[in-house]
Amino acid sequence: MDLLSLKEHNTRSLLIHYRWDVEKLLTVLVEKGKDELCAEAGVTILEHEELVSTLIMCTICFEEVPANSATTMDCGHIFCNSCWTEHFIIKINEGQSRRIICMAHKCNVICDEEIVRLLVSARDPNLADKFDRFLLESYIEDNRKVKWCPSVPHCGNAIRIDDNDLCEVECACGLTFCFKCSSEAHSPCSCLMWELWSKKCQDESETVNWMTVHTKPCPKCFKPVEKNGGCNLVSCICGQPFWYEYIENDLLGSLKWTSHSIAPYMSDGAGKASELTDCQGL
Amino acid sequence: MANSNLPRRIIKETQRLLSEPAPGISASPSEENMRYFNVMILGPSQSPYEGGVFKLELFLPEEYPMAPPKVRFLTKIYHPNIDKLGRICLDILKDKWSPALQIRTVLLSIQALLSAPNPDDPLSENIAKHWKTNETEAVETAKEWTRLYASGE
Repeated sequence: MDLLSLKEHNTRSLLIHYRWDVEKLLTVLVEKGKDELCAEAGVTILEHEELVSTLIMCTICFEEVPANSATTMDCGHIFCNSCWTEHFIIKINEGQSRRIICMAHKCNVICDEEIVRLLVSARDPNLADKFDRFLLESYIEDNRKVKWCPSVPHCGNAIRIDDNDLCEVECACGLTFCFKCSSEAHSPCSCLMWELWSKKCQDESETVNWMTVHTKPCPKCFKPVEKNGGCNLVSCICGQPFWYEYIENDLLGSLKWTSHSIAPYMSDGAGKASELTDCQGL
Repeated sequence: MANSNLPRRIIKETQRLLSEPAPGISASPSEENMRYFNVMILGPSQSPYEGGVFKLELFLPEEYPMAPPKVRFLTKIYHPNIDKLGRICLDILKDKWSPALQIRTVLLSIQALLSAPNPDDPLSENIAKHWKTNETEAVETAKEWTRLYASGE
């Protein structure tokens, strides 16, 4: 960002605001100019004179502190370091590391990350690390062109694409996924269609429920068989006839049916044909 | 309890509230708990609440001023941004809170909210609907409630 001659934290704030879309940022710069560009993103680039007075009254805690224990933010608001630190800790814990704004009412300026890091690490070094991690992750999470690999467990990789977001990518861990919807590669079907399909597949559990209630497994091939009418003698598509109710009462327990119920039908060819036409298996 | 170790900020604010009260507003800390304030706001002139005296309670949580004070109307009031429990819908009491704001500024904002009800961002759906469909009638109700519940007795 030499072009704008900005400090690192200002550049980062700008990029976060424009979701790391450098082209868009440049368009805004050309169309509206640098001031507008920065103002929209809450970035101030004023220079401030060093304060000379030795004691400063912090308007947050109302304590008088030496000037070297107070910090002026880019917007010119000055508060004591202890109040700043508390403010930063609260904001980081609220998950707002990317946009910690000044404490002054209606001041929209984003705090200098160097100052945040410095003050927070003095009180809670772990939290300062967390802050750094959040800032790094912003490059991925706020960026339209970069995405975490959706592998489970997470392989730790992120993938960046160049222009077309309608593509399938392969992560270094070997997982192939659709960049747009993060689900497994599904071309040529659209993301919407894929989502509907996945949903349908998940809904399969309902089908299983229905099958337990309405079908019986064939004693020979174990496929589920639905009795769609007629008497209790049904025939599976594998050709195996069986006694529907009997199975229910003595589920696959014994195969006694072979000895009695079926026999009359088996011997009577005409009867069997007529009975079995309406006893189709599934 | 909370009175020991009261932050300097709270002491200073309290002193200033008592010595130079804002017009139409009075706030005094409770004797048992210096973080609990009894507040009275006079209904602003040219508002349906004119002539009313509204009681509120204000509590400064442990995190104050990093967290906003908790404020609630004790007097019944007919206002689209205040519900029947007296809770107030005001941005600076929620996400727009800044530690640079004070008890005084919060109470002034509440007073301003009485002058400018905002039915587009309602807390009481019914009152807001009333306000939007028939403002004259809603204002009449607000005046009526002010007479009935906020006459200062």
